[in-house]
Amino acid sequence: MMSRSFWAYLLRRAVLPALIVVAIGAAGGFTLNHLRTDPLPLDLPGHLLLTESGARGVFLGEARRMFDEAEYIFVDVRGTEAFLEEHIEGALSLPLTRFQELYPELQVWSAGQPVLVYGSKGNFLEVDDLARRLRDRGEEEVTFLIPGFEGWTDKGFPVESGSDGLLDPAAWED
Amino acid sequence: MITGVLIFLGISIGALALGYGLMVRLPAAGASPGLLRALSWLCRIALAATFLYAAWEKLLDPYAFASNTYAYRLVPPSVATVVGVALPAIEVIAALSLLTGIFWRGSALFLAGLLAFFIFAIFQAILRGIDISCGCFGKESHPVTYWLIAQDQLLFLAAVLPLWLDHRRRR
Repeated sequence: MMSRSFWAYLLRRAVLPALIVVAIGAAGGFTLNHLRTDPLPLDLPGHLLLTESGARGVFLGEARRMFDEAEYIFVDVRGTEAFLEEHIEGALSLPLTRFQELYPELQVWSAGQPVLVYGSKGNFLEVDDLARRLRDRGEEEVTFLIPGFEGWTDKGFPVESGSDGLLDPAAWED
Repeated sequence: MITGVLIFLGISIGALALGYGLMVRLPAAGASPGLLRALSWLCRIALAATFLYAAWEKLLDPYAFASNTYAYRLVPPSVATVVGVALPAIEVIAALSLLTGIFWRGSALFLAGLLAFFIFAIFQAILRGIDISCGCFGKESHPVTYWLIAQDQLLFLAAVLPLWLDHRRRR
């Protein structure tokens, strides 16, 4: 069905225009990405692109919008000490080691709101593990902060210190 | 595996038969140049509309598209992110080119190649049992199925037919 003359026609009339279309489109795509609030980093590692938990990653611009609109509960997976020192304003503390014990408290606090999990930039495994556990327990919309807590503070976004947000009931009594 | 290959062959034979009917039998049966031109435009408009719609969602969330691309396990993450950034914009330019007629042959050729790659990617994902969303329309979730392959084969035909009719007219 595809005769030799058709291939010659494609070579003569379609290949160069195809290359031009691709070049213009690609240039437009990269320019648009550069202008975004949350440009997609081209060197994003595979584990942040496709997580074991299936949770969707968000960058700082979208995370800030979630924060401002108070749509999401922010959950800090780092240890209690790091949380007490500094955490995202209004976040709840749920260290992975105490998940079983504190998850019921999170359920009470979150009251069905979607969750954004964050941790230290270099410790993605904990974040993904918590996201997986939350999804396993039926939390439908779990997202995680791709640049981590350090990315948030580097931007100068709101943080606070202290025990507000600790899910441990024993901590409230102190 | 064998069932999958047989289903794929069945769908492909159906698409080939449709392609043969439209590309060979219809012109040979003495269809008027006006009808063939209208058919060519119909294909270009349908293709352009599909890709404009597909590109819109992907442009809004390049991360989700890059993530879907990477989930096919065909390319490394660096390629998936480049695809996530560049491909939606290329699709928009190609769709506009099909509608305006500027470089339309190049766009039709590019989209035909792209659709051939989509068909291969979906087929290998089904055969390997990778449970993923196709990523065809951004965040909208469509599981990879043989139905999707059939849809892409129809779009492939819509990309090749205008080129074939243009070639035939010029002979």
